[in-house]
Amino acid sequence: MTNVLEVKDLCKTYVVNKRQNNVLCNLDLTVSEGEMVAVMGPSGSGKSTLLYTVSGMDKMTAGEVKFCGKNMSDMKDNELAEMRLDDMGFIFQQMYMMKNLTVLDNIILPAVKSKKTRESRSETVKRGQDLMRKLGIIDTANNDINEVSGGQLQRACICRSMINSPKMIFADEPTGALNRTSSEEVMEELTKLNDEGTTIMLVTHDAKVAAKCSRVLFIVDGSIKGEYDIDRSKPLRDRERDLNNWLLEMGW
Amino acid sequence: MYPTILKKDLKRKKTINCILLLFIVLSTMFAASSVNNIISVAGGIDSFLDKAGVTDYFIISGGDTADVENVLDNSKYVSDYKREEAVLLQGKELFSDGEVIDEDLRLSLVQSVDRLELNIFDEKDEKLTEVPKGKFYSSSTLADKGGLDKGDKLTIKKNGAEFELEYAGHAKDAVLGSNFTGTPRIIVNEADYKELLDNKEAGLCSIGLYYMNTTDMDGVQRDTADICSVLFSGDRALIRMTYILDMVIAAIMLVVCVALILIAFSVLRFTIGLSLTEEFREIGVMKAVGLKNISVRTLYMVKYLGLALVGAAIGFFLSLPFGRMLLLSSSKSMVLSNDNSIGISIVSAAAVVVIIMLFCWSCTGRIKKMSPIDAVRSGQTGERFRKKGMISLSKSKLGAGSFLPLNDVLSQPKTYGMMTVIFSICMVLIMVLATTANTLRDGGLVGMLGCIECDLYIDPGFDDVSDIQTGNVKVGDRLAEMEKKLADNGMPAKITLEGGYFLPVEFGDKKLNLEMMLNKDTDTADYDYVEGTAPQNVHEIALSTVMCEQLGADIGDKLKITINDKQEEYLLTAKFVSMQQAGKVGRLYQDVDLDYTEMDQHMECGISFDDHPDRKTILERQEKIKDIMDNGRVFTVGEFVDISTNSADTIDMVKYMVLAISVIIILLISVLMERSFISKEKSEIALMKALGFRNSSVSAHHSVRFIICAVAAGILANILCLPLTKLIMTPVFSMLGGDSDIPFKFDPLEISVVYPVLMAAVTVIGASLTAIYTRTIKASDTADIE
Repeated sequence: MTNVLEVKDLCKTYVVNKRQNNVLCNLDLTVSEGEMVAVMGPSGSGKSTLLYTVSGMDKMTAGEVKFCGKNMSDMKDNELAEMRLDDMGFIFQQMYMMKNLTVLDNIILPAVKSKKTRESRSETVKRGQDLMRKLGIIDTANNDINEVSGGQLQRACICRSMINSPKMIFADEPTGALNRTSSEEVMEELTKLNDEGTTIMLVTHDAKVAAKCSRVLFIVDGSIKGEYDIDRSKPLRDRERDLNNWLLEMGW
Repeated sequence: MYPTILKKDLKRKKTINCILLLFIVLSTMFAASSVNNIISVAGGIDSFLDKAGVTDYFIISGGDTADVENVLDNSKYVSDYKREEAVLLQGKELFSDGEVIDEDLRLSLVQSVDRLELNIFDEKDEKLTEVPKGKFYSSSTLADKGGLDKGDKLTIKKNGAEFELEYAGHAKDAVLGSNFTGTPRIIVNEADYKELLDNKEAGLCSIGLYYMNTTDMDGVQRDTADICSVLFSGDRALIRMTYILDMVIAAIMLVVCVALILIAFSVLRFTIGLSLTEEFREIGVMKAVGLKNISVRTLYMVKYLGLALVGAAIGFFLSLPFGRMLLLSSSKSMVLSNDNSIGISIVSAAAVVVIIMLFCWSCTGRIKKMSPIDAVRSGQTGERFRKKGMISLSKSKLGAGSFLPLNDVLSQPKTYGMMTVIFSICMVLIMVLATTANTLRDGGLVGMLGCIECDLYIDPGFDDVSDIQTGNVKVGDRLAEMEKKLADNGMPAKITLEGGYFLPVEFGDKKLNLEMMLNKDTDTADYDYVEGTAPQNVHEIALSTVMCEQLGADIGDKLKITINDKQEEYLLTAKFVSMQQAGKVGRLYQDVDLDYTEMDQHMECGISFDDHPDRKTILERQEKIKDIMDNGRVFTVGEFVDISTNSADTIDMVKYMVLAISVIIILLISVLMERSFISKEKSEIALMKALGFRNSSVSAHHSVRFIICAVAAGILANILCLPLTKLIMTPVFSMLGGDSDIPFKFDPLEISVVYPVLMAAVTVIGASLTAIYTRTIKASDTADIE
């Protein structure tokens, strides 16, 4: 299978008050097409920093990140922005949306901005509506973002991340701000997307969420301490139990 | 605990606190300087006239002054009078650097400082009591037009005699110092004055200026109406009226000040509201841990009080030079001192602090409504069943780059509406002034100057009216000679002269020495009248509406006028409006038997070409006539209006000052508002970048919102320009004798293009430069946003 993401010797250092803080240290990682990788680790281990750095949202201090074969360390800000717009999708823990737009408008915004396809506005709207229908939130299309629940909003964020048919979706604790039911619904949608072939990398603290992925990376102090491949043919409960055992071995 | 929270707040929210402080400084500066100026100007002219010792009525008399003194001594209406002696000079007799100091200057008076009866003040508002030998003081109109600086030389040349004087500074002269008077006084040392007067070669004669107090103005006017030697007379109201331009400028500056105060307070209120919105989370947390509303409110009140006190103190100090700058043009010719300016500034600054605290009290009222839930929900969610957006991206054909800013503007009408109104106020102030200045340079106003519209106007070059009166210069011959010269050069034309004749006019118990206009070569039917029909024979006259009101005369009434020592009755057949002599004029039928030797003053001669050429040809002929006649003073109708009203340049000066202030204000508001928006919209900026918007797209999104406001402001200002110009300026023109139907000149290029584009450019420059700051917000900041 083709590698969507290749990371070599990735380092990320923050300097705060003249003190150097090495968040990611010589990290190597590969994500293949169609994979669903969960990144786990204790708070402050560098999970989110890894996600933001490999997705080009934050600059790396050293190392090499290749996305679909393109070396991101050589790219300029505008090229990175274009790559995020056309080839990547993002889901955040907080359901960030443009406040003055409706749910549907928020979803289609990246498509309107993108020059990837030359489709008409009505075609874009139709695709947005299809995605909303698929995720069961079509009724909220014309609602203001303050008029929908957290779960609905997060599903709208998933729709937005999907609107430009990205090669990979990055999700930073996508269920972190949701209740259990909403969380399960959102994960169900992400799993479905992955089953349809979308590569996903997500950061989570929740073993139940991670158990739905195909691989789990465990990060401690900016380095990958261990990797765990999940057999998705097993029932979810078994996967969750096995993962928890492995996490215990890792010192979780 | 409070000091610690406050200290951290001030440190952590540096940007928004700095913006708030800046607006407090601006508000205080505008408020303190404006209130001071309002007080200075409101009673300014009367206080100036009182300080100068101006009396109820004055007469300037040439020739034999014994007549005047005899009348004044015997008039029962004159309670007291004082006399000043002066020497009358033609404007063409005053030179600087070898050239005539001011081509438009007709007359000037030279007076000894020791013979002054009125108080004249120097630049520091001190009474002028002495002038060093060889030096002179003069009203600012002479210095400005002649480009005189202290130390520059002025040469008086009369009949081969020359006198050189050095300019010592400008004098504030209540009676003859205004822009409209046009006869500046040159105040010299007694020895210099005597030297000038005693020089036989120069052959100068003295004239008398009489200032009198009276209990009955009509009585004085009646008693002095028959004095032949009177060159000019007027009452205190007339003097007050000559300062109309200064008053208009001062009033405009007051309007500017009031607008500035409103702008500053509007923005201040917005910024306070914004800074509180920013703090919803902390307020929620404070409430969650059990702090009472009043405790939370007090915390913010203390913070704002601190900022208000510091800002007001800085604003107070800045208001002193700023206030002086605002009144610069008016205080040049008037004593506008305010003895309590410091105290008033302090009170104004204190009032600003109180107003700010009231704003804060009202804004912090929202604290009551904020709950711990706001902290939990980051203030973004919560039940709000009102749609924000008015347009939809899914239904729009606009791209993201155009849609997002437009949607933002429509979604937050209060915020962007406030900005639009502020920009409109700034633009409309400039547009009103520009339209007024253009009107004062437009041929459309020529009818209100008591003239008919001619193709060109030319200064006939009569050196002295007294030469005409003594018959040394034959006006008729001169006009015929000029017509012949034009015909010889292929430009056959009719040249006409509008002359003014001071004649005693009596109606009922009122008697006045009134200027009657007479043009022997035009038809009275060619002039505009607001009521009645043009005089048809020598025993019919027309009067200005102002004079009809003053005399109590109406169409059909018969007035007694003394012409050629013969008093006859004349039928009033028409009323007209005129801005000549503040509207105090009448018009005689063209065939009335009055010789040019009786003429007291005249205007430029009108040239009407026989072949009715187009504008381009007229302009070509203007240059040609200057060469043929060896006379640079050939004017188009617009230029003629300009030199006759003599106000457009001053209005232009104020316009540029208001423009400079507006540019600074708009730039400041754009920068500060954009900085506030960036602070408020940090999460959205980070999100846009995370979604793949380029830095330039984000900057453009922010800048376009300001462009939308600037464009909307331009449209609004254009719509309001003419109605507001009419509203503000018609009363001013009315005071000058004009009517309510002034043909205001709307210059589409200047009003609809130049100023809106300039203001939009300033707005965009301010906003765009500030929007560069959005580059510091990274896509990954989405993780750090509260």
